[in-house]
Amino acid sequence: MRTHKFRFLVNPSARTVFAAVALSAALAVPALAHPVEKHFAVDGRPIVILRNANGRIQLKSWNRPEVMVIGTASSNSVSIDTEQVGSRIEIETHIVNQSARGADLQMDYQVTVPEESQLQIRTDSGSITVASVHGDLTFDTLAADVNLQDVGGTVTVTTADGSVVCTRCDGNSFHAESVSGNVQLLQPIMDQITVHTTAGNILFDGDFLHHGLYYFKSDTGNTEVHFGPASSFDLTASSAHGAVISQARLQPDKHGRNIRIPKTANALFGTVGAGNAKVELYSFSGTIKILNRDQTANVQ
Amino acid sequence: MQCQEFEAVLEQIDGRPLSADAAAHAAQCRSCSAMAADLELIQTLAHELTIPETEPPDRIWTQVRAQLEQEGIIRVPATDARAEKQGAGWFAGIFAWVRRPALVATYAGLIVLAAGLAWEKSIPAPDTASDIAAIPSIHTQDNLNQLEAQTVSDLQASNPEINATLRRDLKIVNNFIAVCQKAVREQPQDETARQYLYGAYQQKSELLAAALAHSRTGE
Repeated sequence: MRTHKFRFLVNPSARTVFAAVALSAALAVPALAHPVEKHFAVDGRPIVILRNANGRIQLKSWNRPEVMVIGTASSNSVSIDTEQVGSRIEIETHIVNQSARGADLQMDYQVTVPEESQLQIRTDSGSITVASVHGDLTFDTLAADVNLQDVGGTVTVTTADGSVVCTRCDGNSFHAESVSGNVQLLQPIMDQITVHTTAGNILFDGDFLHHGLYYFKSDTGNTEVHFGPASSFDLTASSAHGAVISQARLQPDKHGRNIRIPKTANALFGTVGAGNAKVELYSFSGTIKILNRDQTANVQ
Repeated sequence: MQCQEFEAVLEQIDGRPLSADAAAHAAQCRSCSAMAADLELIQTLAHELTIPETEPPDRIWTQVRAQLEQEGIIRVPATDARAEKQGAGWFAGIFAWVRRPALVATYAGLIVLAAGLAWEKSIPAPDTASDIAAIPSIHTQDNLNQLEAQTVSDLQASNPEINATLRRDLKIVNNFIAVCQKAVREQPQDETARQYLYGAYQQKSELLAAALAHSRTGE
């Protein structure tokens, strides 16, 4: 039986070159991302403050009296600073190398908190995902998207470019402000919702709660409201230079409201059902659609 | 003259022209020159917005201070805190402990501007088209543009992706301001356009403040 031994014949000088190339390649590869895990024992309803520059932030709840933080840095240019004072936990991405740019500044976080925690999250870019946290939540971003699911308390989102999606948000109130980010509220159970955006679009799909106050204003973007068949609300919808399209069966206002609608604007106002909730929709040049969820397919 | 001495002079100047020594120092020192220019801009803002008080009310300064402390721009040590209780102005503390005077000035400018915008909103619509020239929003726009230039210049060294986002959003707001201004010019009685215009100014002011705050993350 013949065996074939393959052998690379390389002269010594070439070997040296290969070794040099291999070494420089190894040095050029950034340090492997290794997660840093920290645990903080807390009582009651902790306040978790997180400040990041860029990266994915995922927060969820558990039933332990503990906050767990796992941070994964993309490079050695950033590190995690944490501090605990009583039930206040502060987590901050520290830029070690001030000359680092872009992706080198990325820090991803996975944070697990008690369900009733209060959160104050601030980041420039990346994304924020929060599930099942029911304390007061504050988010402040420039370009990071904010995705909230089954959250509660008072929710405040301020963003320039990031989009905001709130699915089954159940709490006291929701307030969102953006420049160009879209805002979507899907099946919310909140009786005070305020959204203002300069150029983003607004989508509300859900039922207006009795005695709820809903204020949506998109200066130049479009606003779409999908309401359920049992909805009962007083409506004011006005777009100075855009269209207002409605499937709502409006009756003359039942509550004697003094509504000031500009003569030149396209506007609708009146009452649906008993008019329990108050819904105000405003735009300067965007289109406003008020659609019955059951008939949404008929109007596009 | 050293920077510290210049700052001390600036604290006491109260609208008077700089002394020859101070002017000579400002001519040589970029940082002090920028600080003097920032303070002058704030004074101009306060006057142009024709706020009834020459100086912003205490609550505005309190807000500025709280914001600056929260951002870590100033740290007032215990000794200063004691001095303050004894009646010393906190503004002196800022100049003693500030790390980035230009940033402080911009923050202060933005907050003064926001206060001014809130006040402007309460002004009724002008009765005649000629009154439009008197609307302080024209000055507000100029002031905002100055603050925008300063903010964007401060951001040049930070994340380029964020800078691009910020510029895009500023452009969106600026375009909307232009549309509203046109509407107000064409229909001076259009209260809605005026409200949207002031809202856009406020949005721009907040966007600039947010940009400044975010540029400092992680420092």
